[in-house]
Amino acid sequence: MFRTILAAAVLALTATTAPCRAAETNMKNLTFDLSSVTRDNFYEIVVPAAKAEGTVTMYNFAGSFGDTWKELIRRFEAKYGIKVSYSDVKGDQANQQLIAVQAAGQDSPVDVYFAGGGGYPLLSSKGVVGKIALTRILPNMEHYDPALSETIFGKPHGGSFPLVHLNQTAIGYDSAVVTPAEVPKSFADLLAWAEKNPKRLGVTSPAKGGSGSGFLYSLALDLLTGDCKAQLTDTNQTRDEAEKWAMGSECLDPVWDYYRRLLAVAELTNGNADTLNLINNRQLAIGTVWEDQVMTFLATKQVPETMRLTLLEKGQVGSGDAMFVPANASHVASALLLIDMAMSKEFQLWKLETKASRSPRTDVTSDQVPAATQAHMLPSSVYPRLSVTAFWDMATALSEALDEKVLNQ
Amino acid sequence: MPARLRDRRLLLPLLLAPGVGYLLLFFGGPLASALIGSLRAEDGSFTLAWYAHIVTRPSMLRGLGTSIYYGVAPVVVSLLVSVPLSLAIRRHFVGRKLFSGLYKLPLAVPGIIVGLMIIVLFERGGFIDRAVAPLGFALPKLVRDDWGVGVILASVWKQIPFMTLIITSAFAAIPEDIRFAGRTLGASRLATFFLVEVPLAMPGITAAVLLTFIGSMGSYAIPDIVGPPTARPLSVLMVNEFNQGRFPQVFAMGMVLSAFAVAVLVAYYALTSRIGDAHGRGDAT
Repeated sequence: MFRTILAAAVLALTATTAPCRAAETNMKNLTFDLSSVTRDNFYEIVVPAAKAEGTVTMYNFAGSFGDTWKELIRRFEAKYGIKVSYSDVKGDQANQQLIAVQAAGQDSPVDVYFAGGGGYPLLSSKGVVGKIALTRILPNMEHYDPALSETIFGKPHGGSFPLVHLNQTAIGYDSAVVTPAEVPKSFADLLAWAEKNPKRLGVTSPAKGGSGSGFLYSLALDLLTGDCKAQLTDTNQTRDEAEKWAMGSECLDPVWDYYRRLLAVAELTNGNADTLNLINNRQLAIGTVWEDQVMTFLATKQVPETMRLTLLEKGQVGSGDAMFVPANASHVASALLLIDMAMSKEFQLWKLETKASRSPRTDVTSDQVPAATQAHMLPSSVYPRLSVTAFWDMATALSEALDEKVLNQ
Repeated sequence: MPARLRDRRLLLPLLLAPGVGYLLLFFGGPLASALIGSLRAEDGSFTLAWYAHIVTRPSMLRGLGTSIYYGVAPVVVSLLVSVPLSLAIRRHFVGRKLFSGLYKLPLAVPGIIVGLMIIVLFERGGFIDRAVAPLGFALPKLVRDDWGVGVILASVWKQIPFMTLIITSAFAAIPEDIRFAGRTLGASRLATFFLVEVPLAMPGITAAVLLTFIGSMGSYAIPDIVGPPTARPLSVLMVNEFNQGRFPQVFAMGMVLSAFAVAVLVAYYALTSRIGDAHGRGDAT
């Protein structure tokens, strides 16, 4: 009898405190006391609540990650018996959908959203990101990189928008054509190589692919110094402020000059895949690429086996994509459990080996994958040493300024 | 009929309501909403800044020019193919029935597939380039080329069946007797064609031109995939702005594109009404 009374009291207390906590966490559909969840009692509280929910909805913005998440879902459903309703979405459109839903005060149509890391400023400013300190409570985030656990690309997120996949822009080359001695080591080397080998270097249009805008931002980091560089890397700027600076500042003249010389001898391509396709067609020997996309293309034999990667001195942009629980999601416990499994060491290692998807876990590194796979990844001599943090709003602003000042002049 | 409905002032709007009401609701409404949206700043105040961007930014101005170019060039090329094709289809030849079915196939192929097809076939190092390489030939640059030849080729491939279908019907509607009358009065075959048949088929031809122009000017997938990354038409720039969440800019660009389409429509009506008047006076030929 005492136990029944105690259970009823706990239930009543939970029911009365949950809405209160919900207001703090912008989660109005909580069925458990989120504030009492810690890394230690996580499974004890969350697993029963998740099983009671029974289903969870997931969005994936990255087309190349469909197979990866299907494997995660297979493991998740087998372990917990919770059904995952999965959808591939176009990131920008899904962002706008969630912003509209949030503005209308409705429940989120999705519980777990794998979204582009660069979308955080927009999504957080519109209140879309659920205020749950995931990096502090998920057991599988115990070994999470401290540099990423509270901030993303210089913006604080308090653990609510954790990267689950890291990727790296790089210079890809066909080693059957480019000898080790010829492999460019700096931006100056790259330009010199392109001038010596006209139309054999492919540069992804910054407006049409992250490997292009990442290259542009990396070049700016390489060429700018002093106050100009401080302005370039000031992540407190809004997108409009970044755009205004990029359009008007003389600091960027060396960047535009470099591009004018480069585009006279290089091929500007229509996207990341377009660059890789031209390398596969043996029309290009070097191109701007993403490390993980090269691995995906290798798996389907869409680029030659002789494809190799490197990073230029002073660094190239590294990025990542996050998994988060949107505000007012309906199945929060299941969502937490799914993100936790995505961050498990086994899954992160599997993801690294099959997709060159780098892990934010400090205990998952490329030396743990087979040597044959390592050959197609960035060598440890350049990664992570030459990986620099992205500032995507500035990269987008630079891309728009490049459009006006170079490409359409 | 109730007495109230016998009142013509009430009856007329009621009878027009299904047609006009539909247009107002599904065409006028969104257009008005886009117009209002294009004139609003982010704080809700009135602004012309989004239109100013279009006429001051080099990429936008070039985008407008590119949109018109991608609208006009495929129409001209398609017309040069479709008119002779329509005349050929009118004649009897072996396999005519099969050909008449096959030439319409591109109608069913989505623009994005056409774009990818162009890349697979005509990209340097692509299927055709590899096929002709042993013969010592190399394909010219057709994908991402500065003149948008790949875009025009893809659009033409997609538009020819549509244009041919309309123009064939226009020629088929001309009574044979009129053509024979022209020949009996001494006109050559060529003179009969240009002075009798083409003027009579002109309403159909202009309708085909108008519809394909509007379609190709607003197309997105083909110029995005096949076109040069430097000169991007407004449709591609619009999607880019949408992805950035700048809706007022998207609305302003949409209004400019719509204004062009309406201007072409007005020109079409002006042209066809003159043709109609000429027919009425009996001096069309």
